[in-house]
Order: sequence, then structure tokens, then C-alpha cells
Amino acid sequence: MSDLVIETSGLRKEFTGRRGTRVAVNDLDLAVPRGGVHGFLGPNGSGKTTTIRMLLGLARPTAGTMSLFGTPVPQRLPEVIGRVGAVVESPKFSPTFSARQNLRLLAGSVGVERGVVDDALVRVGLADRADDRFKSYSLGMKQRLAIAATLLKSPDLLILDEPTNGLDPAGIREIRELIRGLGEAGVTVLLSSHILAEVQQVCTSATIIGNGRMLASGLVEDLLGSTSYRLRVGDPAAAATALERAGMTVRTDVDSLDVITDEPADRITRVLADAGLYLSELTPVRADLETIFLELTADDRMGVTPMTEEVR
Amino acid sequence: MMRLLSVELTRLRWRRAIVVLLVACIAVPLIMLAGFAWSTRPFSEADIAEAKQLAAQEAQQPYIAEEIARCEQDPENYTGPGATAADCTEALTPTYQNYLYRQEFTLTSLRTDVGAAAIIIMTGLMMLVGTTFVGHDWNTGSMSNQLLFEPRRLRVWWAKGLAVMLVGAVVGAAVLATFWAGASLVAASRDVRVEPGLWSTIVETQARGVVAIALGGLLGLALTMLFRSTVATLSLMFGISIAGSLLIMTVLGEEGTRWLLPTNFLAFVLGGFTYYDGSACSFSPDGMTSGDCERHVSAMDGGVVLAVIVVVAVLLSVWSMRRRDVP
Repeated sequence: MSDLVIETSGLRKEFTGRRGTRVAVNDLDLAVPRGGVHGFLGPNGSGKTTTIRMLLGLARPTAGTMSLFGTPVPQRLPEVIGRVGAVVESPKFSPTFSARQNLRLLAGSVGVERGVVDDALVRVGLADRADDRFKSYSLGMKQRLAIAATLLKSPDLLILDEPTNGLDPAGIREIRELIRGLGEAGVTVLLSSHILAEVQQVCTSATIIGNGRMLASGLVEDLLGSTSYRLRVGDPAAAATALERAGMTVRTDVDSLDVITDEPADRITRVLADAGLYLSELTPVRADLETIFLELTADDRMGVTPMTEEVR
Repeated sequence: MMRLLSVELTRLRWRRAIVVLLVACIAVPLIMLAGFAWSTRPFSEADIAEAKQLAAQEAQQPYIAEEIARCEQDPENYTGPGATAADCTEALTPTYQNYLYRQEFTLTSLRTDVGAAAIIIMTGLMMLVGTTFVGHDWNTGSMSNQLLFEPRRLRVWWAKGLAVMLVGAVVGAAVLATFWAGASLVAASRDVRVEPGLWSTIVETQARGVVAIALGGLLGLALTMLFRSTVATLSLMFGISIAGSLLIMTVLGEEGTRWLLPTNFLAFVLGGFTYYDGSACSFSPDGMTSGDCERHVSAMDGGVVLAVIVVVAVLLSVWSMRRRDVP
């Protein structure tokens, strides 16, 4: 049995229009391991939603293969869809039906009992407003209802596309807690987002895409890479020389040094002490996901290359 | 499939716009029957008394006396060969019957006029039901949500189609049965003579009417599933009913009547339809027309045209549902 919950290979999606063919997803190899919360990061228009839509059978891939729980999709999607809950883009429900009516219709289509609908509404905090029309809901309530819909199936895999869009800080925190709780309960969560803090706070692993291509993937810890240290010392130039001689990368600032290394902090202090230099300050500076993301997607954001490749 | 069908029937029931359309589907034919029964009601004593009064007043008008006097001078010119002066008074004096005209209530005319119109209106309303039912799903984007629970798109398509057809058939059958039950009561209360075999013709007409109503709902649904927009479907329907008819008549002339939607619809529902076609006239050597200048479309011929339209729309719609990305 495959340990990958989601796997794509050479996945490609082209959209053909009057202006030619636009490539939204290009040769994407995505691998999401079982368990935990996996971030799916990328700038707007990078192909995240298109990838999710293909995985869920809403869009047809132009090329490539996909599988969910080791089962090829979309060919055998009906076999596994009962294990997948998903929110794609904005919540989409009938605006004139109440939350309860909307969920009952969805639950009815997969034979889920009414009690589960009520439980899901309680779980996302909508029980009190369950009989109000969907169109009267705030964006945050709509998002919560969408998550309630995903819970109807007791999913093993939850795919959430920008679930905190439009939420106020309290709503964002609630959703993050919910996602974290689901991940801890054994549900694999694919969290698509362009909000880096969200991914860094919630996810154990992440994939970063840009221009429809995968740019990086792995554990968040690994993606963050080496730790750097900011240090102050009496003779920065001598300290830089000693540290570089010890194989460390050093960037000199006005009155401090940035040392990038995988070595522990005591190694730095030892190297400097051996050189007769003594620290006045040593601060570990952890690279954050934002830095990694901005470096990887610089081209996308700066418009050096188009968001999508044009093929005519 | 039964589970999905049940869900779609519930969705139909919960949609307010559809409930309004179904209420119209029930009310309009019954109002039409009531209107027909009222406009053909027997004359009351008060009606007759009023008519007699009007006739008496009219008879006092000077021009009547003048007209009678002129007639008496040349009776045959006024009232026909062999007429005498004595006939003039009787022929030219207004009688109360002149003021008592109403269409006669017959089940034959009810079937071909009001009954057929009721079926046309119900079919149109069911097309709107089918259109608005799935148009709402596409407009709100809830179709994609539904497919996240049941990704077998053709099942979803057919569950919705069957729900609309089922509702159309049940409502159509119930309303038409009520319509004709009411008509038979009116006929019985007025001692209207029923021609032999008329009831079986009526039953056949209503059975075909129920099929037309159900398929009308399916056609509306199929077109909207194809265009994914209520507005696009309504525009197409409007365009075909106006521009399509004009185009057919412009290109084919009077012969184009054969291919008009109303011709084929009425032929199917009424068990055949006869229409005037100048090109069907034959002329005698003296240049006078002979023959009746009419053409007949059988129920089978009309049904084939309607079936082709529905089948093509359904096939295109199903293909589209299967192949195209869902927004």
C-alpha cells in the first residue's frame, strides 16, 4: 500500500482560448505523504487550484497521471471520493437554502445520516445559525460551512484551498486550530495557501509551486534549511576570516556578522575563541518560509517570466 | 441512483422558483378551463330578459321601420327568392336571439383549443422548471460542490433529468386528469352530447401531452446543462421561437410550416395537424383552385421531429457534462 496519499506525475493542464494555449500546470510531480498537514504554496495563479481541481475530477488533465490513496484518478475517483473532503476556492452552496438544507442535500447524495449534518454544524460553530439562509452568512461563516461539508464524509484526506480567505483574525485562528486538530487526529490535510505564516504555523511538510511547476518540496524544517547566526565581536574582520577558514559562510553587516552554517552555536564560539576573539552577542536567526518562498518565486512575482507559459 | 434521484427531488421541492412555476403549471390550465366553461355557460333568465329588452329597443329604432319599408318594395332582393312582403318584418325585426351569442361548449373544441393550449403552456413552464433548476446550480457554483460528493457526472446529469421528468409527468398527469374531470362534469351538467370514441381520443391526447410536458422539462434541463446558463437557454428558446420561425418561413415559404415547432408539437399532441399550404393547391383549367390546399402532419411525423430535437440536445448536453471542466 502506497504511503503517499496524493501523487501526481508529469501532471499538465493547458487551457486553450482565442489567444492560444495557456499552460496552468506544467509537469508537476506532487507527493503528499500520509498523515499531517501538507502545505501547498504558490503565488496567485501558480496552478494550485487547477491542480486541486484536477485531483478532484473537476478538471481534466492534459497529460500526466494522478492518484489518491494509490488509486488512479480520475478513472477510479468514485472509489476514493468518499475518503476525501474538499473546499475548492470560495464556498459554493445554494444561497437560498439554509446551511442545514445545503448539508442535507450533500449528505443525502452519499447516504450520510442527518445526525452527521448536525454534528458537523456543531463542530464548526454554526449550530445556532443552521437554519439561516446561506446568502445571509458572512464570508467567515461560509468558509466554516464549507469545512463542515468536508466533515460529512469523515475524510481521511482533506483538501483545503485557501480556507482562511476573507476571515477575520479570530476566524483564521479557529480554522487553523481546526486544521491542526484534524491533522493530529490522523487526517491528512493538503492546505493550499499563499499565506506563508499559515503554512509555517500549521504544516509539517510543504510543496512550493510557481508557474505551474514544482519549485521545492519536503518537510518544512528541511525547506527552511540552515540556521544562520548574527554575532557581534570586537574585530569583525578577523572573526570573518577565522569563521571562513573553518568552512562557514559569512556576510558582513555594518557592525555585525551573519554566519550561515549547519554547525551548532558552540562550534562558532570555539572557532572564535581559538582565534582569540570573544563574542559580545550571538543570536540564532532562523530563515523563515517567507524568505524561501520569495526567493523561489521571485520570477513569478517580479514578472520576469509570465505567470503562465504561452504556447502558440 | 435512487439516492441521487431522491436528493434531486428534494432539491426541486426546496427551490422556491420551482414551486412557483409548478403552482402556475397547476393553476393556469384549471383557470383556462374555468374561463372556457364561463364563456360557454348557458343563458340565464336574466340574460334572456336583457336580450329581449335590447331587441325591443332596437326594433323601435326608425331605421328598422325604414329598412322594412324598403324591403317590402322588393322582398326578393332583401330576403331571397320567393320572399314576400310579409317576410320582411320577420327577417328585419331584431330578435332577442341576436343578442345571445356564446361559443358552444363541446369536448371536441375543448380538446383542440383550450386543452391543447394548456398542454403547450404546461410544456413551456416545465421547460422553465428544467432550466431554472440546473441553471441555479451552475450560477451559484454548487454543481462543483455536488460533484465533490458524487463525481460520476452522468449519474448526476440523469438524476437531475429524471427528477425533472418525473415531476413533469406527475404534475402533467394530475393536472390534465383534473382538467378533464372538470370538463366532464361541466359537460354532464349541460347535457353536452359526447361523440362516440371521443373520450379515448382525449385520453390519447392527454397521454401524449404528459409525455410532451415531461420531455419539455428534460429539454430545458439538457440545454441549460449544455450552456451552463439560464440566460443562454432562455435566449436560445426565444431566438428559435422568433428568429428560427422567421428563417424557416423565409427560406422555405409556406412549405416551411411543416418544420415549425408549433406545427409538430400540435401534430404530436393532437394526433395529427392540418395546416394551409398554398403550394398544395391544385388548379382546374379555368384557373380556379381545386382541392383544399391543406397538408397534414401525422402524430408520428410530429413526434419524430420533437424526438430528434430532444435527443440531439440530450446527447450534446451529456457529452458536454462528461468532457468539459466544471467551474
